[in-house]
Amino acid sequence: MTGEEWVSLIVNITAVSVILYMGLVGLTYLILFLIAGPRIKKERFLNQQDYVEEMVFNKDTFPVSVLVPAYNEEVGVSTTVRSMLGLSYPQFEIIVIDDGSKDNTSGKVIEQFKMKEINLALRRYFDTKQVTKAYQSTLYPNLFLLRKDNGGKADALNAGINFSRYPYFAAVDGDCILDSDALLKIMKPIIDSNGLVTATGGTVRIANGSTITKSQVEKIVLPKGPIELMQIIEYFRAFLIGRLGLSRMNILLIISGAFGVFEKNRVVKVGGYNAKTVGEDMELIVRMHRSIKEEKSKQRIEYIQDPVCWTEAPDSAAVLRSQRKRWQRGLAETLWLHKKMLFNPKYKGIGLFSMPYYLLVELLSAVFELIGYFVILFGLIFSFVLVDVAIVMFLMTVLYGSLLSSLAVLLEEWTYHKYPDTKSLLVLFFWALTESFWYRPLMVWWRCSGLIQTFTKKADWGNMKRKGISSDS
Amino acid sequence: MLELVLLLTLGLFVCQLLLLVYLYTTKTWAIKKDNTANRLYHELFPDYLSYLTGDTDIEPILPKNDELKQKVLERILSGFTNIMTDSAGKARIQQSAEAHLATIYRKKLKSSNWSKRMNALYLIEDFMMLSLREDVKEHLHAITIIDEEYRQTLRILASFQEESLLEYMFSRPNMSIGLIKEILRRLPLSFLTDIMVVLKKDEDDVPYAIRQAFIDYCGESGYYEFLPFIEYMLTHQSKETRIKALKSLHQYQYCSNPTIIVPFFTSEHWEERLHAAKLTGMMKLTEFSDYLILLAGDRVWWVRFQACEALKKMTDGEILLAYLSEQHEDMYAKDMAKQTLTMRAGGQV
Repeated sequence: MTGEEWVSLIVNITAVSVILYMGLVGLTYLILFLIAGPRIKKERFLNQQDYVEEMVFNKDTFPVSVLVPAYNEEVGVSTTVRSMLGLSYPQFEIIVIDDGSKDNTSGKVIEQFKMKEINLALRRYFDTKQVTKAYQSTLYPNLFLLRKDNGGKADALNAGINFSRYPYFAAVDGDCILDSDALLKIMKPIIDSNGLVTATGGTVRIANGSTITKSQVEKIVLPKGPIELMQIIEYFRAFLIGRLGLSRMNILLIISGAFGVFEKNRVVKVGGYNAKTVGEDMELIVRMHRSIKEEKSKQRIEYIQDPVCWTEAPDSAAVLRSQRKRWQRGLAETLWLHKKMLFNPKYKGIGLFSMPYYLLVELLSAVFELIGYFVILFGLIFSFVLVDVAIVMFLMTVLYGSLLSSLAVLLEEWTYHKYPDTKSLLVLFFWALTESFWYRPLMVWWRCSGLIQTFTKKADWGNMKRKGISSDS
Repeated sequence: MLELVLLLTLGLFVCQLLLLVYLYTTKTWAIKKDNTANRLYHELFPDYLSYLTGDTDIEPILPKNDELKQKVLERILSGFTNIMTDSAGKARIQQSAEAHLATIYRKKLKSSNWSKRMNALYLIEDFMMLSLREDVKEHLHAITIIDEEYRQTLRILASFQEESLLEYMFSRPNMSIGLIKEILRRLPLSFLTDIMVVLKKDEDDVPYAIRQAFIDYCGESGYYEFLPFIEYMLTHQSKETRIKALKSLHQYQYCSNPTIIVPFFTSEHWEERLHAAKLTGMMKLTEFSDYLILLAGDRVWWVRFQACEALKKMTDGEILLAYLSEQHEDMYAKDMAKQTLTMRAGGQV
């Protein structure tokens, strides 16, 4: 064989491998959809208000400490706190942890909620950076503010856990708004299971475009920008297919840092959040699973499709890029830290399915796809690859994304049907079809850069510049 | 190969198209139905207001279509259930629901759709539709999965004060304390007295969870009749039962003879020390302040926290705490006293 033939053979083998890989990934998602779909269909018509009504008056509804880590969140922090204060829940406290912000985050909270300094007798479940001051609101006695030296989000959450008084804590990002019954809904599986569920994660939705007044979502409207629209579809897919599917098999490895509830004892037992990784939310869940499996405990970690936490999504390519790079780094670091669990039968579904899934699908799919793009592009230009093979690869790429995105839109309609008109559905559907032509290639490129960054960068907050999502903020 | 892929692509494209048509049609249909129901609701509401408040005896005429009738009436009655306090109004709600919804709900209970069964179950309880008692009992026996449906069915039977429920509970040792308490909250005093009689006679006949739930609930309900029993439980051999009894006394915010809590100040179990401190604070038992001062330097953070909180509740609490913050030999106690002095009570531990 000539050198040229050799190259052509290698390229074609690579192309077929990429096709097979993409097919397998698509199939995995389809299986997850088939697992998640029935649960969503089951609860499709449920009256959600009646479902949690009992808990509002029930004295056995466990009290919860809501932790709000904040770094340079002066624009959104007051809105977030107000949405927390409006939570319908029998007993809870809110702890804002200002992680050494350089802006006026603390000042805003102190001023808006008439805070007064208190002395501290802190417990130390974990060592954290120095907590310098603590405040309590004179208007709402269940609202506290901790000021501490900068140590990162994980460190801030650990400080919040040290200070918290209740057996369960909710971690909520400083730029998020919770639906008023979100805490009730997310705590329900924990209460109903009598503590057998040790952590629950809720759905995060994108608030861009919607009308939020006085920290309450009033009207849900789609944003105009394609980048924001595509993220909405992407979130549906990630939450309603990915997370729900994995959760139903009790092998969910991510509870979004934006909104999750945890049993404090379990978190303390595993050592709290890891301040050395940017993917502290996922890393904690993996460690919790690890400890559950090692103890042969029957505890579970669940994702609940309904409790809704609203967040502001990046509206520019630059901010989205840095967010996705960061996510990719977080994922890579967590998988590396827990590589012992990979393919390890001791950890059952986590070791044999979940970890490989996150490695091969969530982490490395970007690399495979990038190779695919190069093969198509350069293979065709230099005639190294058969035209048929290139067409198959292209179609696989298009179908893989658009069909799953459309199915995610279906699940959204079954779960929330919150968009009030048919036009929104058509818009979402249209953008779902375009995903493969511009959004996915961008994601692939950024995720690959994120992988490279894993080896070069230090952990940081990775915040984006906020505009604020509530009209009264 | 290419043909196959193209065929597959075409197939999937058609799938997506069908999906879009399905979504569009169902959404349009749902919006149309919602609008009709909305319009009818606003039309009927004033007439129903007059009927349910007793201003008129003529019940408004509902739409003939079962689905629409159910939707509109449920919305009207649910709204009133939450605000109607007088028994005549409640009776009218029940009467309307029985007349128009009983047959629909009877059918829904047999539905293969979980959400529809659940919604019917919630409203059967809300509207107190006693005519469905036998259907609900039958439904309970048909349930195979312990989930919200099972729990709601039991809640309904408790609300209906179904006599066979106690026997059912006694034969189910795996019921959770939380669920049992939800049932107890709906039961009349006579049922609770029956439980206490059995507990006193031979507690081994009663599942552990019922004992714990009952002790807990006595305090929550505030029934004075059960106080001697709860105080007696403080001497129980099981630590968990003693703790439940202490917690129950918190809810009563009372005990007939405070000296019975003294042994708990020096208990080897920190939870007992904590609850003893809490009760002392709630009852403002100044004679036990010395114990609290001692517990302010306890080895467990929670006990220190609770002891200082309890001291704060005493008449001279702030003075005592100020003294502790300066003079206590234990550094942790000093810190805790300082924190308690500056912190307002913001929910209990």
